Amino acid sequence: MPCPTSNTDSAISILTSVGFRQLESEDYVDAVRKVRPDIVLGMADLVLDQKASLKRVEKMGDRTAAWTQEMVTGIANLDESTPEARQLALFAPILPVEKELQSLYLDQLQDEWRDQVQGLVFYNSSSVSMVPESLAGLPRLSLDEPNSPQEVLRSGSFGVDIFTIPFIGAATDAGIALDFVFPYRPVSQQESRKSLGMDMWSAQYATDLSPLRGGCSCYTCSKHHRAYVQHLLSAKEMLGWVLLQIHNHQVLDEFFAGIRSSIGNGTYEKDTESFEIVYERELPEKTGQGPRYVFPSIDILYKR
Amino acid sequence: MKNRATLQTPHYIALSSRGAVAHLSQDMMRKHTNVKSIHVALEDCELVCEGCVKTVY
Repeated sequence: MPCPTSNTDSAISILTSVGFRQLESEDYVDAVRKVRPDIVLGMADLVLDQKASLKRVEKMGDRTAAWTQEMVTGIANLDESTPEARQLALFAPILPVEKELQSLYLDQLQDEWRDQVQGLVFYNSSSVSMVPESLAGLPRLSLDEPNSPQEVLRSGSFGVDIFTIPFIGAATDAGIALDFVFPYRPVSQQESRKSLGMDMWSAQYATDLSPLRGGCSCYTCSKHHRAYVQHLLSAKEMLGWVLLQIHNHQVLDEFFAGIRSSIGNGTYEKDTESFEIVYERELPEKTGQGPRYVFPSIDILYKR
Repeated sequence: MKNRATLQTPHYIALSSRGAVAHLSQDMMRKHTNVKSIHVALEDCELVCEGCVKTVY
């Protein structure tokens, strides 16, 4: 998210619900100590400007290293003696720049902080190739934003373990019921590509009493049908989006279960190729409006 | 992870806003989805109550 002010040696610029702010590293460490999340993503100095100078890019590594050190120190003495105490896992960032430009930082990760870091976080799936050998066993979380299941599959082949998938929420907001299966087993020869989802605003569903997706075990598909969801959306009832969100998360759960079994069977590459042939490349066009957003300033920013 | 469920990977972490997955209340999320971990923004952390599924930020 490009911000109007740049990062400093001690703080990053962030967009909050009350506007742009600066987040100081020491405040972040302090918050982490109080809130005790299960996983904390280390602060990274990201430069989103393509035209950043070499010097600026090198500074990314230096600052990120300094902030990582602060976080490592800050969480080192947290009380974990009680049986209920949860261990806090620190995921260190890997910067989306060439390995050589963050080499000092990567060296420190391997030499000094290896035991304090339980995972890695990426901003760009292709950065996964930067991971040094000694850190290769750590789980990898990507904050990259895949726009389609095909992009998820590709990131998976780069080695991403944990994903964040904004298109689930985006599809729900747009009134789109996702409908894709991995691995896809074609029953017969097909002529046109299958769509990745259905636009439930469409009047064609107004009398369709079948579930959103045949065979889907989610609450929405077991209790309701397409006509009901179409009605709820057109009546602007919140329940429409609730039902879609439940369904869309189920589709992604099954998608990932399919990925895991495909990897287990050793057929991931072949299954990925089939998926790319069978399905359309992008999610369906958004035709309906989402529910009203609470933060109009963000809407204008994203030009929604 | 100590005292937490194991996350089979590859998998995803659901995105949240103000402590809940969009359009879903926390009890709905627990009862009707298989979502076990959510990504929580720093500013939302004070809003998330103890004992619900958490947390990455």
